[in-house]
Amino acid sequence: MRRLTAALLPLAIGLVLETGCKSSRRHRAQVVEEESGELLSSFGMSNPKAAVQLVKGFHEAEGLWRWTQGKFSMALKSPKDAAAKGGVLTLQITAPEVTVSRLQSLDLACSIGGTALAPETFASPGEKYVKRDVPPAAFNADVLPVECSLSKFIKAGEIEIRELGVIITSVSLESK
Amino acid sequence: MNWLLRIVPVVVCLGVYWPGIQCWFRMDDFAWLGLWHEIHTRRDLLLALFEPRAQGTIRVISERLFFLSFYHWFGMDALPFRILVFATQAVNLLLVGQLAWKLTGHRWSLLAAPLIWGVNPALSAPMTWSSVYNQTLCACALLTALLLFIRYTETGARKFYWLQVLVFVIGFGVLEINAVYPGLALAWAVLRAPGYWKPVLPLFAVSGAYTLIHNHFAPKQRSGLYALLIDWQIPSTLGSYWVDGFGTWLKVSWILAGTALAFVGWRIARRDWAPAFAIAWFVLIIGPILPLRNHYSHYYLGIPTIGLGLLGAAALSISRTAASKLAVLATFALYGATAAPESRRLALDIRDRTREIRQLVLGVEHISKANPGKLILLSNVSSNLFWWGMNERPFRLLGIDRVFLVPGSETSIPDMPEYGDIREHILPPGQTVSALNRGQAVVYTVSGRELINVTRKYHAVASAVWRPGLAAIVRIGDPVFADQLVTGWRPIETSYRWMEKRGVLRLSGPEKAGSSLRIEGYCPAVLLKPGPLEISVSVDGVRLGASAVSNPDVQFQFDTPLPASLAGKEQIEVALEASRGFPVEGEAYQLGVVITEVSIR
Repeated sequence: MRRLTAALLPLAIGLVLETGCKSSRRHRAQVVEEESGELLSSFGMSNPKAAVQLVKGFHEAEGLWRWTQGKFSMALKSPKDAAAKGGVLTLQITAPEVTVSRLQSLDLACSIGGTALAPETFASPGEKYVKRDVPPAAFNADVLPVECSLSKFIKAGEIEIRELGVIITSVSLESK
Repeated sequence: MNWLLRIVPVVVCLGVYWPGIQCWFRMDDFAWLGLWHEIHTRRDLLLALFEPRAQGTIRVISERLFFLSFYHWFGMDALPFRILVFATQAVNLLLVGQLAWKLTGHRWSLLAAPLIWGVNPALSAPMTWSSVYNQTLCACALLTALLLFIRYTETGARKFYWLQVLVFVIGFGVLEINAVYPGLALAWAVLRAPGYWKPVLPLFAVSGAYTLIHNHFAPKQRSGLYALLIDWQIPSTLGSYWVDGFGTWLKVSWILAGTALAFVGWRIARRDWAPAFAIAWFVLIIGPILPLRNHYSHYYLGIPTIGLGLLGAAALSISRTAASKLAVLATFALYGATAAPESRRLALDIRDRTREIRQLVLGVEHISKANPGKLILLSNVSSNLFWWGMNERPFRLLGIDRVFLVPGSETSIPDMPEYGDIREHILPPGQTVSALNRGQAVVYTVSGRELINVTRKYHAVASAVWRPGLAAIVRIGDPVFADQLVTGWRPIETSYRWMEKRGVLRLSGPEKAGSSLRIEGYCPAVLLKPGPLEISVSVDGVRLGASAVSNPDVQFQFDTPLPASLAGKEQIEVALEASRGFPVEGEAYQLGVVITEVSIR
């Protein structure tokens, strides 16, 4: 019995310290009511305020960027004056070595507000700023869906459990 | 002096794993915590205690009673659960020291064996996860029973033998691996106490009887993650576990594993059987796990690695010269320098992950209180947070049913079919927009440890991307889908509804031609007494076909092809009709079958 008491003594001391130090701060939920600010037209993929605008096809942020799936979509705020002047959509995208070496080349096709934009071909690994003019007619709402699809992608389970497309670092929609 | 040798490993080992006492609940914990809510009658209590669950296991003491009683007393405060685990582990460390002392006769074994075992990274699961208390308690049962048996062999007093039997039998309520205990006792008798092997033999009969009974009520799985695969790969799996038992630094583990085997071979050649017993401990306990090749997991090493502690104690005990002592201590140092930091790192990592889960669950509780009656949608939930924290629906423990991921989350969280179906946690897009338009939902995004209300922003995004409308799937027992049920459905019972003889519901039309309608449910035995039951399917008044159900109380699932003309329709009306129903006393309607889900595929 003395051995048992001896064994439990360190535990008891630790618990006294543990609960004593923390008795003053009960576990409280950290809930922030109604974030201020508007939807964004341009953002980096690691921006937590923009996470709500990534609709589907994006994996978790890894540093400043995210892997996409074969299809991915997001919603962007329509920039001021774009409905009159038109705009420019810019995607900062990296075609990684692992994707290009497996798939040879791949095409990225996007649409914004239902208007199809010219596709971009990735034939070699590396980073590109994919820029496309967006006609004024596409700016038909305050918030525009941007839908993108890749002609080829790495299926889930081929090299890891996730479906992998390209790496995207930022997106920007600006008026001309 | 002995007091100090006993207490140092307890201080060190519990210290290394101390973040484990700060861990909250995760994964299976929530299912076990929910057991309490299933108990309404005496029969429910018996089912909660003895019904095979989670891969057919029946761990009455270490899982059922542990979670039922602690949840009853402490609710969702994890600390008391963790204290019990740590207290049990403190006792285990004492018992390992005692066993090592008995094995080697060397006083320093009191220190070496528990120290080696107690910092092993394989303990990271038991020391951080309340659902794995079965491992900690099973180690306690095995060690206690064996030490009682050893006492019996030392004194000849029968009371120790029968106390050992008592602990052994109780151990079956802790973990199935307890069935290997007679092997451990026999190994001790043969190697350390010749003449005492005969009293061990009846224990094998007890294990055999338990195995038969257990297999009867919890049949072996022949496929999937927990399939038992008995083939030529078993020695290779054993080798992998042996190496991994020495830690997670592969090169160091190989060196230590090879050194340990060479040491054992050398000692056996010299007819020193103490290391052989240590190996027997490892092999006997990992043995039943080896056929579970598809579920190779480090946490299975928790109890077998006691053998490594015994082996270390044996090595120390035969060191006579300064050089040999130095060599043994250098080996210990190599092991400790890799194992202890890794164990600490794992414990810290798991603690932090479970803290995120606690923030999520408590945050949702706060949100639910602030927004009574509203759907709660969560965005930006990480894979870890979902599979560790949300998949087992912890919110139900707080009386909150209507928590979903926003549509599209299924693409950012990798599928893990062995754990569940993420789609069950996602509110379909059309319903999301409808609920937001009606002000019936709030949306929170997970940002670090904060939950931020983004309802207004998300409403704008969802409205831009999706149209309000019906879902292409109806989970009949989920109140969220109640709007899509038209006629012939009884109230929700737990997670399902009875359909009357005929039931009607609405779905959005298929997106494309070539789709089919999937019906899933259960048929009660009473309806199948006259023979198979036919369930017919009509869409928009046109009969599309019928399927026969013949197995009672087993889930049925059948697909009916949909006409191409339905593609793109905003809404279709589906009518299901059973070929017969059974009357309910005092009611005008007849009950048909239980339907769990209707979906377009």
